[in-house]
This record gives sequence, structure tokens and C-alpha cells, in this order.
Amino acid sequence: MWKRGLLALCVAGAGIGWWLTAPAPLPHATETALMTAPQDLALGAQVFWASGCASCHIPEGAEETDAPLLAGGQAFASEFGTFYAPNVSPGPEGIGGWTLLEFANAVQAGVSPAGAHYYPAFPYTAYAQATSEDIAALYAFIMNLPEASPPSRPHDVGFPFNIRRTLGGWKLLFGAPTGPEMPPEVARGEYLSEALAHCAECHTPRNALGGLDKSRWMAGAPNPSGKGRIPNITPAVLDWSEADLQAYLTTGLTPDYDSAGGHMASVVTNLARLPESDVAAIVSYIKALPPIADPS
Amino acid sequence: MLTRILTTALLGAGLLASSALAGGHENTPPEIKARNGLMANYSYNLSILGAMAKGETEYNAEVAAIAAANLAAVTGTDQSLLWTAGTDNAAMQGKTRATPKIWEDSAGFQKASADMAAAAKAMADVAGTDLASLQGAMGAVGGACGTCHKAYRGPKPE
Repeated sequence: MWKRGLLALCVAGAGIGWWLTAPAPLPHATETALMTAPQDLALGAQVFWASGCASCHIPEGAEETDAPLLAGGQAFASEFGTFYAPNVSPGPEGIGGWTLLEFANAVQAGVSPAGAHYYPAFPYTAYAQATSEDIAALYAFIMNLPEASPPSRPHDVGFPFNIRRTLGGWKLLFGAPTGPEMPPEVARGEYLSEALAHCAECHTPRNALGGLDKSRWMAGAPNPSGKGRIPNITPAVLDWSEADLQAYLTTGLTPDYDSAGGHMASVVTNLARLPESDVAAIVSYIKALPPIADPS
Repeated sequence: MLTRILTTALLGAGLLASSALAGGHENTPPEIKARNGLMANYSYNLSILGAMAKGETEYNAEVAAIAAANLAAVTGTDQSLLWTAGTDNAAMQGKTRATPKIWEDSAGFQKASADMAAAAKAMADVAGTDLASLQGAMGAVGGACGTCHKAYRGPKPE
């Protein structure tokens, strides 16, 4: 008798688990906001560069031109496996034919048009905080970029992470990371840094399951590639002046006149395309971050 | 005038004092020392220009023109003899951050190097005009540094 009870409990548990891990699309109110947004191309370009889309989705070594070819192919190593950025150009091998709602569900909910979870190597948990106006404009901009022909390369991820349904559980646990409470005067910088530029994806450390450790927001982390460290950018460690930060984020030159390298060099290329006021907003956000010392 | 030039130079030296070269100097091959020296020279001239661009020191057309001309001259030298085989960060761990990709993709590396020289030349053409022209040229020079470092420089030794 008790065996049957246990079995029933297991079946029920599995059923609830299956239901809980199902890919959930964006809420109806967001869909309405998207459908009524103006799809402004100039705004879309700003959102595109602020969000750093090209840095990951152009082929290795390609240039970030004004109209980049989003053919994909760059490899991103992590302790869970190697992810390959897909082709997201508006052609048949990319996202050609996607509706705005399909695009928004991919970018903000991490759900593909076929209803599968995306891996969070794609920073949709950050983009989830973007406004519908910005997402609709981004859609218009990307749909006007040139088409690229290479098919996307499958990710190289081992068991159990190769079962995408497990990502439903990941999303439940870590899917909505939020930064610390920030003063209202840095709201623009907070939005640019957290929702679009997704700085925390690299500068905030992660737990064993790859969720952001919110108690150490922007306090530095090991490089997921396994080589080197991504620095602590809170005021406890980063003592650069506002002029230093502004110059770094637009030229890549540090106060020692060394230069950014690695992915940060791409970030600088992107931010250099933003209005000066937006870079200044990011600078004021960084200066206002709660200071977190390095572990001694 | 001379005092001003000297003051600016000293300021630049102060800015650089904290940026020590990576790795120890014992048994470091002379090519690597020369490369690091070259980078220190780029950095020194950039520190003078950058301090003016940021408003940390007063803009001085004469000094800016000298620093930018120096940067253009040094970046424009033929550096092919510095990159001898076996002096990458895999073969010489802790002594250099130069990745093997420099040798595997030498056409790309030479282009990045030529782009750097072109950006420095463009800055040298305008650095002595006025502050706005200098500021306008900093982005392209910094960008050229970053392009090469992104593709061909490995992480700092831990």
C-alpha cells in the first residue's frame, strides 16, 4: 500500500517538476507593450551597441562595423561546457522570419520560438529588465542587418546540462538577478549597466550552479575561461576618478595608460558608440556601487 | 617653457610609476625586454596626452605635439625583428603576455600594428592644433591598442 502511495507521490512530484520547468513566455502585458512600441531604428542602434550584441555574435576576429554580420561562431568556454554563439542575422540560418514576440521571448525570457530554454550564456536574465520600447527598437535594427549564411554550431555541453529542461529549474532559482538598491540619480546608469550592458554577467561571481552571487555584486570573479580574473569594480577596490572611468570606457586606456584587452576591449568599442551622457551615466552608477572588499 | 615641459614629463612619469612591467627580468630574452620597453614608451607618451585630454593637466600644444610625434615615430618603426619564434606566453610563461596567435596569424598582427601606427600618425597631425582635436584623436588610438590587445595579448600572470 505504502509503495503505491510513494509511487503516486513520485509521479505527482515529477508532474509538478515538469510543469515548473516548462519554458514560460513573456506575460501578456509585456506582449501588448511590445506590439504598441514604435520600433525606432536609431534607438535600436543605441540599444544594440549598449547591449553588446555584436561582441558575441560576430565571427571570431571580425570587425564591429556599423552594420555587422551576426553570423555567430565564437566559442565561450565555461565549467559547464563550451557554448557557441549562434547565427542571429535576419536570414534563414539565423532569426529570419521571427516575429517581434518570438524575438522578445528569446531575448527576455530565454525561450526559443520552438519553445525550448536557452542557456544563460545568453544574458537574457539581464535583458529581461529592458523596456519593451528598447526591445522593439532592437528588433527593428537587427532585422535590417545583413544576412549571414553559416548555420549555428551546436553547443558542446555534457550531461546533465545538455538536458535543456533542467534550465527551467535554473531559471526558477536564478532567473531574475537584481542588483543592489541604487540612488535614484543613477537610474539611467543602472538601467544601461544592468539591463543592457550586462556588466554583472562577468564582474559578479557565480555560485556552483552558475547563478549570480548577489551579495558580491560587481566584486570581481574568476574568468569563466579559466584564465585570469575579472576585476572588482566596486569603489572598495576601483579608485579611478570619474574622468578616468569616462576615458577608459570610451578609449580603453587605463589611468596607467595600459589598455583594455579580452572581451572588455569589445565592451569599450561598443560604449564608444553611445552618447557621452550615457557613458557618464554608467560612470556614475559604477561610482555609486556599494563597496565590497576583496576577500583577504 | 622648459620647466613646463619638464613638469608635464614628470607628471607622466608619476602616472607610470605604478605600471610595472610584467614578469621578472632575470633570464628574460632581450626581445621581450625590448617589446616591453616599446610598450612602456607608447604608454609614457600616451600618459602625457591622456592627462591633457582628461583635463588633469593644462593643454599645451607644444608638449602635445612632441608626445604625439614621438608616439607616431615609435609605433611606426619596423618591429618584425622583435617577434622571434618561441617568445610567446606558452613557451615563456610569466615573462610575456604575447599569445602564440601573433605567430599563427601574422598577417592579422601586422595589420593591427599598422592600424596602430596610422592612428598615432592621425593624432600627431592634430595634437598640436587644440585640445578638442587631441581629445577627438584619443578614441582611435586607444581603440587600436585595444584591438591588438584583445586579439594577441593573454591574461596577466596570477
